[in-house]
Amino acid sequence: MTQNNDASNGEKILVRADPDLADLIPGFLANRLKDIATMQDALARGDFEAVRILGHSMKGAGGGYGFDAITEIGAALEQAAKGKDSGSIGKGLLDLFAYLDRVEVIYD
Amino acid sequence: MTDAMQDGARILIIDDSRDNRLLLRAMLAASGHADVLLAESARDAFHHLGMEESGGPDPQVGLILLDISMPVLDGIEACRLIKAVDRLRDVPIIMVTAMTDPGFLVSAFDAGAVDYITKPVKKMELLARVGSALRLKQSMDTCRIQGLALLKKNKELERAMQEVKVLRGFIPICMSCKKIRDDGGYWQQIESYIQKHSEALFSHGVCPDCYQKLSDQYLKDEEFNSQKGGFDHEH
Repeated sequence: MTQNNDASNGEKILVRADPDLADLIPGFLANRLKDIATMQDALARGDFEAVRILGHSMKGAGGGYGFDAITEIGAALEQAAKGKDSGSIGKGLLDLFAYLDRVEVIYD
Repeated sequence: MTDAMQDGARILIIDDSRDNRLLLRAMLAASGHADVLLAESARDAFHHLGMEESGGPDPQVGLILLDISMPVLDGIEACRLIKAVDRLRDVPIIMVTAMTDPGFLVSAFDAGAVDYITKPVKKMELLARVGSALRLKQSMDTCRIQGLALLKKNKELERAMQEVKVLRGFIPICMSCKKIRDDGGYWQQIESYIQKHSEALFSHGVCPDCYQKLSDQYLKDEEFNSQKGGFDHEH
């Protein structure tokens, strides 16, 4: 469940996460930031397969940690990579970056 | 205490994604499944399972959670190879996958998987399917133990039956003197034959018909002897 919250620095995206995953979530989100850099490098050299694999992995993991949006973005990146669609991949990476920048986790 | 905590089975998670391995382990740990092994690839899993050529200790894994999409050796092939090992044949394998193509799932079941969970994984679904698979394994283990016990009892019964002496089939018997021909071709008294081939013992007596016959014969002999004695006396 997400909730927009107007704040002075932009909208925050609140995500309620499982407290049992509290120790893992910071590392998970940090890895997604690394994925952005990795996929940008892969895109620059035309390695769509690398983008596809990371997108697929993101699709599988995101929702399990409580981040459905990461699953959706991952699925989009996977599809875009299959179609060798650089534009859509670029958009997906921007969406992911913006999401990670705004997401705030609350443990229920 | 939940059923999951009572199980105490060792679970092996095989996934090339560290995030996924840690996620599944955390979900299982929250439900009491503390005994979890992690493998980052099929080869790593084979090492954990003692499947390498050099062999290795049997880690007594009770359940395997296996990702399909992995580099080098995918989950379906890994499943097939694991199931080909005799001591691992009954270990339930649940595929955990983001792949939704029905063809992959059919292949997974053909390779020996018992169930699948789609990613992203929902904790309740994971725990339900893991619990179900572990209960199934427990039932299979119980059946195997009972089967072995029955086999042992059967062998004991067969041994006992061999020692039981039973007369059956056609027995060659002389229609005149009632001697019986044994397997070696030797004609022997009926009492000897029956005693040899059964637990029976004989106590001898005389039947009414033979008693009458013998009595008549005895009287005839007495009469003959007394007549003969008189004739000898006269002469």
